[in-house]
This record gives sequence, C-alpha cells and structure tokens, in this order.
Amino acid sequence: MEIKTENYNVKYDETSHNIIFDGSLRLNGSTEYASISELLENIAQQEPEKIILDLKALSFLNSSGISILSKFVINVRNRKNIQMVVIGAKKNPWQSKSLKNLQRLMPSLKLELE
Amino acid sequence: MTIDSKSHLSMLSYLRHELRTPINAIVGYSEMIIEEIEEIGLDVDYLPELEQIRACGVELLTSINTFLNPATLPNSQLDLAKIISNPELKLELERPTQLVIHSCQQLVFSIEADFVSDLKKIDAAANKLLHEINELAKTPLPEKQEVAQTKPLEVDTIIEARNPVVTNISEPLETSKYTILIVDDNANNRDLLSRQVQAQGYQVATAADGKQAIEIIPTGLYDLILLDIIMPEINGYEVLNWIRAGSWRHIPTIMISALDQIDSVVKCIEMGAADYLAKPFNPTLLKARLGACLEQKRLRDRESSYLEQLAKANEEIGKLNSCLQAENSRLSAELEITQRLQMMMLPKEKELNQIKDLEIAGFMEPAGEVGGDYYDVLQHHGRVTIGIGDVTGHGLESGVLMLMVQTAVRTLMENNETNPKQFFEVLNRTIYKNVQRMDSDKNLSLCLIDYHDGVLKLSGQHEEILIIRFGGVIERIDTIDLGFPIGLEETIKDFVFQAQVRLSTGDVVVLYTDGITEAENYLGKHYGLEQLCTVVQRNWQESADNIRQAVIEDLRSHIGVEKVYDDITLVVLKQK
Repeated sequence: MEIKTENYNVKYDETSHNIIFDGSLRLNGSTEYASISELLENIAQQEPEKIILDLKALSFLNSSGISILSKFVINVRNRKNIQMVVIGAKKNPWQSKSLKNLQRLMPSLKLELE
Repeated sequence: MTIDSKSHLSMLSYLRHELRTPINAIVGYSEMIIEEIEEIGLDVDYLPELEQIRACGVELLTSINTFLNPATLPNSQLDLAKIISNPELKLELERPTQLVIHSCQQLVFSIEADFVSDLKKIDAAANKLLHEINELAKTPLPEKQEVAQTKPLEVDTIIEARNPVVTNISEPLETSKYTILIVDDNANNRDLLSRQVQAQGYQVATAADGKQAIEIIPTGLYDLILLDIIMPEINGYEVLNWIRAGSWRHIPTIMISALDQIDSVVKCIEMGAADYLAKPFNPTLLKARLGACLEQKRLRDRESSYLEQLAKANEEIGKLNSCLQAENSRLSAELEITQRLQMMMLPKEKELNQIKDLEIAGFMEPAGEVGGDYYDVLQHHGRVTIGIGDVTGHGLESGVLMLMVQTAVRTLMENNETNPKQFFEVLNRTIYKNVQRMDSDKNLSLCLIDYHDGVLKLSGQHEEILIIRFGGVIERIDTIDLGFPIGLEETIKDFVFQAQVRLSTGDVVVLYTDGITEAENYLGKHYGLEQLCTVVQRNWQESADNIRQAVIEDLRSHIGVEKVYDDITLVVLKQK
C-alpha cells in the first residue's frame, strides 16, 4: 500500500510492518487527510503483531496531521495486542514535541529519536 | 440559339425520354432475370436468348444516343423533322425491337414460371417501343414544348384531398432499417428499381408522380428518396424544390435521369440533390450510391443526436451550476457567520485597558476558511486569565468548538476553579463529550495563563511561549509538558502541570498560533519561530501595540500575495 504525491509519500511494507512517511505534510483538515487515515485504518484492522511508524524523513507535519497520527495511535492502543514503535529524528523540530503526545496516548509505545 | 431550335431541342429530349422508357424496361427486366438465374444457380439453355434481349436493349439505347442526341449534331443541322423521319433511324430501332419480341415469344414456352411475368413485361415494353417507333414520323412539330421546365411551386395548391398510395412492396426485412421512397411515373421503372433496391435489403415505398410524392413524404419516415426528373404535372425539379424548402430537407434525394441529361443533373445537384442515378439502373452503382447517401445521413443523424445530447448535457450543467451557486452562497454565508462568531467573542479594547499591570495588544485575522483560533483575556475577582488556543481543521465546526471552549473557560473561572488539573480535566471532559456528540474528529491546543501581581502561571499545551526580558534577551517556554490536546482523550489530568514565570517592568510576553509560524511565502517557506523571535527582540522596547504591528508587518511582507491558509493570532503582553 502506498500513497505517492509531489510533496510527500506514505508507504506500508506488509512484511516488515513498517509505515514510512517522507516529505512535508500540510493538508487542509481531515477531509484532505482521508486517504492517509484510510490507509492507517486498514493497517490497524490487519492487527499485525508490531507496527513501526517511521517518521525520520517527514520534515513537517501540521496540526491536522498530528491529530490523524494521534487517532491512529489510539486505534492501535485500543486493539491491545499490537506493539508500536515510532521512529523520529531530532533534526525535525516538530517531532521532539509532538511525538511525546503519541507516547502519552499509548504508554507502551516505544519512541526512538535518532 | 433561336426559340425555335430551343423548342426543337426540348422536343428531341421528350422523344428520347419516350423511347428510352420501354428500352430501360427491356434492359432492366432481362438483366434481372439473368441475375436471378445466376444467383440461384439454375442451369438453363435459354440464357443466350436472354442475353440477346439485353444486348438488343443496349443496342437500342446506343442508337437513340446516336440519332437523337443533339450533342453529336451541329446546331445548323438541328432539323427535327429530318431527324425523326430519318429512315435509317427507323430501321436501326425496329430491327432489334422485333428481335426482342421474337425472343420473348420463343422463351415464354421454355422459361421458368417465376420469370413469365417479367418476360411479359419485356414483351409489352418492346411492343410499346415498336408503336412509338411507328408514331415517330407522325410527331407534331412543336411551337413551344414545355418539358423539363421548372417554376416555383406553391405547395398549398398541390396538396389535395387524395388518399396517398403507399405501396410497401415487401414485408420489412429483419435487417432493413431504412425505407426508400421511389418516385417515378413509369410503372416498369418503379417496379425494376423497387426490386433492385429490395434486393439490397431496404424497405421500399413508391409514388407514381410528383403530386403523390409531395402528399406522402410528410406521412412516413423516409430515409432516402429516389426521384425521377421527367414526370407529368409536377416534375422532379419541383418536387426537389419542395423537399429542400421544407421540413424534409434532411432526407437525401437521389435524382433519376438519363445519361445524357448531364445539365439537368448539375442543376439538381445545385438545387440540393445528394446524387444522381442514370437509367438503366446499374445494380452496383445503385448499391454504392444508396450506401454512400445513407451513410452520410446516418452520420448527420448521429451528429444531430449528439447535438441533442449536448444540449441536454448543457441544460444539466446549467442546473448543476445554479445548485453550485446556491451551495457556494450557502458556504460563503457559513464562512461569514463563522468569522463573525469568532470575531464577536474577542475581548474588547475597553476590557484590555482595565488590566492594571499589563499592556495587552491582541490581533486576530480569520483565514478564508476559518481555522478556529482562540484567544481571550478574562478578569474575575482581580484574577486575570489569558488564553490562547487553536482548533484543528477549518470551518464552522472548528469555529463552534472554539466558542464552546471560550464559554467553558469562562464558566470555570466564574466558578472559581483555580486548580489547573481540575480546570483542564473538566474543560477537557466537556469538550470531549461534545466532540463525540458532534461526531467530529477535532481537538485543540490550549494554554491558559493566570496573571497576578507580576507572576504568570502557565498550564496547558500549545506553541512555545516567548518571554523577552528587558534588554532583549529571549526565553522560550515549551508547553508540551504542561498539558495535552483538548477533546482527544477522555481524561488528561495526568498530563496537566503548571509553570511559573515572574515578570519585571518592560518584560514582554508573546503568544501566537501556528498560523504565524507556518505562514508560507511564494516558495512555500514557513515564516518560522526564529523570525518571530528576531522581530520581537528587535522591538522589545516598543509598546505592546507597536510590537504587535511590527510582527504583523513583517509577517505580511513574508506572505506577500500568497494564500493565507490558517487564522493568524498574536497576543503581546508587556509588564508595566
């Protein structure tokens, strides 16, 4: 599963269960984020043992996008049997702050900032 | 050319027509019998005799063309009396005609019963021809002959109360989609042509003269008209004129003419005929011309059906467009309402001036699609609360949520709730439950600042808060650990903490939403927090109003003419 655009890409590797975001995501509200929400919902429904959310190459994410990731983490948390790892990078200023909220939403979530 | 020779020419043309009509029948019927024999694979020994009949017919046509064709004669020799009394002509015509009659009498005993009636038609035509040949010398010389003459036609005077005679000669073929109207005053021609046209799978209707044609064309859906030129009363030109002038001009008309009537053919094409066919009818040519004309008609019909569809689609688009306009005006009405709601809840200048120890300058500009920014300054029992927040997403829902937050904050203040954990927990539950009811996926960042006696108490998660100390040194306060998004989770009290900042005279506090830091220039570059810090640092000694103005001006020069995506909110506090 993959979403490719000029400004950003979202790719899911079904064998390693890696969700890789790259580029800069600045869509307008939840309607424009619908295709990404749908992709994330599909992954959660498959209930893999472990999901790795790789955001290292995502240089920017606006508040609507952070909201979408938050909903996804809540969704994964509520399924109770999925391990979750979020990988970020310190070079992306938005991550050191916003990714903390994800960990608060799901205390078992492993946050790795490179 | 003199009038006299003109009328002689007309007479000649008339005679050719009279003589050719039976010859065409001889050629046509003999050809048809031969074709049918070949088609069904009959092995007959009388085939040479039939071929001889046909050959005689062709020979007769050649003779007519030789002796009665003015084109082969110089004008000076156009002496009608001399031409028609030419004994050679009589001989040339009589001999093959007699031969045809003789062959018919022989064949009638040996030929298959199916062909007898056609053979009798050949015989009758030959006898008629013989009669015409004998009458030829008796032809009265004309004063003025009116043949093949056109005059404008008054349609009203032609249509009389007479039952139209439509003979649908065959049952419609399953594959036949087209009906062809044959207009010819000669029964043999009609019969021959009908049979040839039917053999190609078309449906056929016939009219015996121009008058009948004009009566029946409006009664049926004819796809094509085969129209003889020379007919009594209303001739082919007049019928063509009538067709082209009325509602049936879309029906292609093929003129039937003799080969030497090339002038007439040109005239008909100029008048709007689709094509012409020469007598005797060559089946291959007939097939090709009918096919070509009907294909053209089919394309034209398809074109007009497309045009019709296009007109319908246009109408549909028109309707959708007016729906869209209605939807647009609904949306712009919605936006206007949302913007007004947001602006009307902002603290008034008068309220801000009532705060003793602080200079306060606020700025808010809702984006085209309102983003749900929130800022407020509330006072209750000497306690001042300054709030700043940002609802995710855009539109009416975001604006409404912002109103709810404002009311909830004010309610909690009026209820003297001072514990930040309690304050945020109740606020969050209120908003969370309403968001659930609204079936919305929105949440918001919110930072509340209690101010009392030079001390700021900060709680709630929002952007970084900037403190610019007297002299220009900047301190950035991260609020991530002071709270959690409101309305996202059922309970947040574990995440709520409070930070304290003491202000001295001249210290500046700057609050803002991401509409400022994420505003894009034409390259898509964000305005950024660093630039905001720089501008504030450069203006720290200015009044709160002037600092606000400096930031907004710098921000506008960054944005230029680019679209503003998000609400822009800025609050500047300065310790007096």
